[in-house]
Amino acid sequence: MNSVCVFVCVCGQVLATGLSGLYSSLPTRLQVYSEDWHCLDPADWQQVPALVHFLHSLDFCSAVTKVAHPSIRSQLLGYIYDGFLVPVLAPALHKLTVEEVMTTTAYLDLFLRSISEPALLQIFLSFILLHTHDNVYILDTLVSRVNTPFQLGTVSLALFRTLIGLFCEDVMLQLVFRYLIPCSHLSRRQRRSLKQRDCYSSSAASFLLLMPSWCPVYLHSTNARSEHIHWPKGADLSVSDSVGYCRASDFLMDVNYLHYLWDARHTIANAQRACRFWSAPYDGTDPPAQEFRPDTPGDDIEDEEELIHRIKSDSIFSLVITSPPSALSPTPSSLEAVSNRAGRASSALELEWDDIFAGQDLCLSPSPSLPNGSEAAESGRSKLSPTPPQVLPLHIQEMQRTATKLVHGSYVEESEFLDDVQVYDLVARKDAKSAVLERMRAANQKASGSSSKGLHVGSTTSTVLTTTGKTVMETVNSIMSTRRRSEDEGRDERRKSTDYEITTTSEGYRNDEANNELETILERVEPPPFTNSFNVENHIITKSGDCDEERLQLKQNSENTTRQMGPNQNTQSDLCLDTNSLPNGHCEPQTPHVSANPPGSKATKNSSFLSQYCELMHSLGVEPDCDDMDDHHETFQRRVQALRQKLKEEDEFSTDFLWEEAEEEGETMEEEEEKEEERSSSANGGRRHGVPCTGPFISVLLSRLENLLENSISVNLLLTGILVQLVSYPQPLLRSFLLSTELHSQPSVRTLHQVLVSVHAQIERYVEDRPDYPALVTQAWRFLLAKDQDCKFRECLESQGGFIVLDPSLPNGSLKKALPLPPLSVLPPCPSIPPHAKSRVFAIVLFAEFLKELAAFAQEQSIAPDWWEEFESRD
Amino acid sequence: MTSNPFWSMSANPSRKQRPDNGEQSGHGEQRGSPARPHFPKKHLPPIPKNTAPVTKHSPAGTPAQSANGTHASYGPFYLEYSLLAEFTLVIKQKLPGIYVQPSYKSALMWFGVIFIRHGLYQDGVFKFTVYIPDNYPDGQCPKLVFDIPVFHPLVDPVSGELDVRRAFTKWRRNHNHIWQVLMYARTVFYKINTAEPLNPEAAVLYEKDVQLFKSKVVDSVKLCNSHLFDQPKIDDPYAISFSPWNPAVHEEAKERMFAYKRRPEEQQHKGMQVSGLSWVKPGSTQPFSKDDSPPQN
Repeated sequence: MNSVCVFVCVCGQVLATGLSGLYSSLPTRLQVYSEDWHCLDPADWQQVPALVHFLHSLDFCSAVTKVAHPSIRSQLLGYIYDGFLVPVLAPALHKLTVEEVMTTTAYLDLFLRSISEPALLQIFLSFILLHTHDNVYILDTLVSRVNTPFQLGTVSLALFRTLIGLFCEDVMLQLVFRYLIPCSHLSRRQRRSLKQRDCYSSSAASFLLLMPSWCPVYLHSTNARSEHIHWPKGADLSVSDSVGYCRASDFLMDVNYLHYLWDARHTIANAQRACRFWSAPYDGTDPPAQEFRPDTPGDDIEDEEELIHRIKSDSIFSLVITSPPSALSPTPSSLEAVSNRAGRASSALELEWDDIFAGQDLCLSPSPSLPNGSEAAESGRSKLSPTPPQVLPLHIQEMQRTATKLVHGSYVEESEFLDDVQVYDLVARKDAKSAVLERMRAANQKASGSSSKGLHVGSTTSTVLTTTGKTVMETVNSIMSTRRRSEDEGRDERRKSTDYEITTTSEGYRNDEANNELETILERVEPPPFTNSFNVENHIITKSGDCDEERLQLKQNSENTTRQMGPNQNTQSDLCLDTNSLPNGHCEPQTPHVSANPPGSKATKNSSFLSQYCELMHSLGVEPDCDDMDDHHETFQRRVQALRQKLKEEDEFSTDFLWEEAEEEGETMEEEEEKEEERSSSANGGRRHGVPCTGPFISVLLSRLENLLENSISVNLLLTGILVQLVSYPQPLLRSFLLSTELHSQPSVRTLHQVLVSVHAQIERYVEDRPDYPALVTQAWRFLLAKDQDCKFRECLESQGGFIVLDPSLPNGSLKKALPLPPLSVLPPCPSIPPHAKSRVFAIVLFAEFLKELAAFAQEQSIAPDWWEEFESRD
Repeated sequence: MTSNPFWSMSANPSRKQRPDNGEQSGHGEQRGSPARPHFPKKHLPPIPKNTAPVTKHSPAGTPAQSANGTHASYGPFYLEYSLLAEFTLVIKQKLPGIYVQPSYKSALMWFGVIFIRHGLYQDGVFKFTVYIPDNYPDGQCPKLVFDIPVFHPLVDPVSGELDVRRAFTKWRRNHNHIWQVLMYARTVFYKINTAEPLNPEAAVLYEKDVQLFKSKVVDSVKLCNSHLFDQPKIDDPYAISFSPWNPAVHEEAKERMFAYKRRPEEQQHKGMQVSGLSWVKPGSTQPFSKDDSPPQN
């Protein structure tokens, strides 16, 4: 028995080291590159023997995991984690060149796709979700790379498509749901209607309204008397027994939409099935919105020794902080920022666009230099920590606060920041603890003392820090000005400068190869272009920027903040107390702006509402419980529900039929609440639930989508594909966020619909100036649809007896019979599109098709069976 | 308790299929009414596979649906999905003793049957049809017509139509749903309302001579039940029809209903992408919080 164990242990070690060994023989760069290559297909990897080898041994690991005794299995998995993922794959994901990183990302994607054993997959996923490399979660790094304009961004998107396609609760929790659980992105009314369905396809209608005005469907609808239902009307059966839709001449469009509906139905059903093992319905009440997890686990687990060990082992790390941190900001936020920065600096130097905003952490929190900085920080932290349940994690709040301070003079709502990708990007990063900084400083002092190189580079790094400091100031200002200007102007400018930036950056990148020439790089490499950033203009400004001036500005700025800090902290704690005593119990992150408001004003508003509420309840003959204002609407809802329940159960003895009245009541209440909401939101500066946010991933995704016209075809396909995957998820929180087309949303949260509206406007504008476009697009569209149709029919014919795309037993008409297979010769010829216009033309077609797809998903989601109930009734 | 227990036999594939719920509720129904142990099973004709629906083009037909203010070509989809959504809601409500099923020919017409278990109308089995206006949900409230005019103050003695409008004076989208109409139809038999009756005789009797009213009701219930096995009034493959208990036909279905089992879980595709994983402990919002989770770094 012992020997078996030993054998297996050895075997496990061999397996893990074998993986590492095989991995090291994989090509570090792949030569696949066509422009839209984004993932390793079988055709790709089968040509690389080393990769075939690796996948075989991964398969073998899967097989062993499957059959092995649990204890042995866990040992084996441990070896793979500690022997392959952490020491080999993690550094590989942070390699020096884009190509290498991109290749590693593609490998990781391939591995995830080829693992069939859940336990093994679990190890890989926990590596992605929980492992930190240089204090940054792998997941956060991957998310930030989605915004890379290079192929790395595309490959990262492909990886996320794989991840989301797993329907893994843990992944989705970290990626999306943890930001949605607090429901801060929803208004109260929306929060209550989370579980309601969109009965009348209004979302679908709103999506379809965004079709380009000149698009073929629209044209057809003008002469579309032929498009309607011939269902018998009411009791008048004798007159009409005709059934079904009459198809217009342009059957391609209609059939096309039916395909989308059909697809949507099956995709949703699959998603529902896949999510049946999830732990919670994510419907706004379970998990409860209050239960917010400020950060990922495992933050504090790392012990000092390990950290120092890591610092030592990571040679680049020693480059980072040599300037004494005490000279930097000692407030909690800035300390975090510094250590954060420190932790990520190495990767920042290697892959700048990973960390575009790394410097911002620092500069967003310019703070006075106090002698006992760290102690102050500790005490500051301890002051903050006992605050009641946070609506948002501490570091996000800090971010918000510092951001506000930064633009104090310029009439800026913090909310305007927070929907910016940049800030999300910042926020996404894990904040290191201030204690970590201490240790790192200690370690660094040792390191820097021993090496002159370290000193040299260290000083350069501090230059970077200040430089980026300026950049952030500029960024913030430019965000503001961009926002104040009309969006359109800005976009064109951005577009131009983005192009410019791409060239400079890649140039700088080539020079990067000699890694020790950091100075050159720092001068040449701009913060990389952010496809959708608001800050491109100021990159150029920064370029000519004068270091001293920047330092000066930074200093001034920090002094500014110092002045604000003192009183602010006081008000902070006051307000905390105040809000605690407020009935709704939210400790709202108050800002200096807000604190200017007399705290009483809100209370009075509240109490006036309270009395109204009491009156109302009295008039309804119910004893209001005014103490519990937070829950008053829930209580009311519950009461109504209880009444309904009663009605249902005892309607044998029920008194009267009360629909009208009950509904009236509900409505009155609703209106009251709305009013109250408006009032209170105007009282506290438009924010009641803290910072609404939907997380970095969603915002990166949406910002890339907004750039649809500029994206390559493959990026657009991936983006829309991922969004469709997300839309198929059955969880009400996600579903309602993505499909909601209501305007009554939190002002600072961008929804998918809003982004699509913006893209729609872009397209309309773009086409306006180019009269030849509609014809071109329509031609391309027809061609693509016909081709698609043809493919589908042929698939159908091939898999006869299988699943037929159009079911003949559809009640509304036998479509299959109505539609003869289009002979191949009928296919319209591929229009000759000028190559430079190709991606735009296809992007427009894709946009219109995406709208249909979304509409179809919205419609199918509205009639999908209740996922969670169904799933619970199973047990 | 609304969906037909024989959904799986009768429903067409494009409609929402809820065999599970239907069978479950059918099950409950069975136990809930021990008074009629040999209650006849509903029997629906098989799907008429060959009867392709007539597709007739009539240019003067209903105006294109533009209820939602969007372009007309999607109008039919909106209407169809509105009705599907309504039907989904009906299923969700699990109204006791009510079954409905949309007609084969038109989603605007639903067949239904209601079982009354207590009160004056106890043991009544009333078939009815719901007619939904084709500008739903922006038109009038749906009509509900009993196949046989039940003796009831609110039921028209000639047409059999129930006075639904008194409960839904104005049909409001988002507030009013078809399940409420069904619910109302049920309530009417438990709580008699005599104001502004459609059947004045019934109203007056109920006020003046309850005994006579009761006996008339009993007669009416008997009459309805005696016509239970009649052919459906409307010739439609999905019309609800009853047939006497026939072991050859019904026994197996009954067995299946009692030995209810969920469809076998879809087979795990070998070598396919694993999907649908969770290592989150219920009640936790931490990834990998289950006990068998991997070591966290």
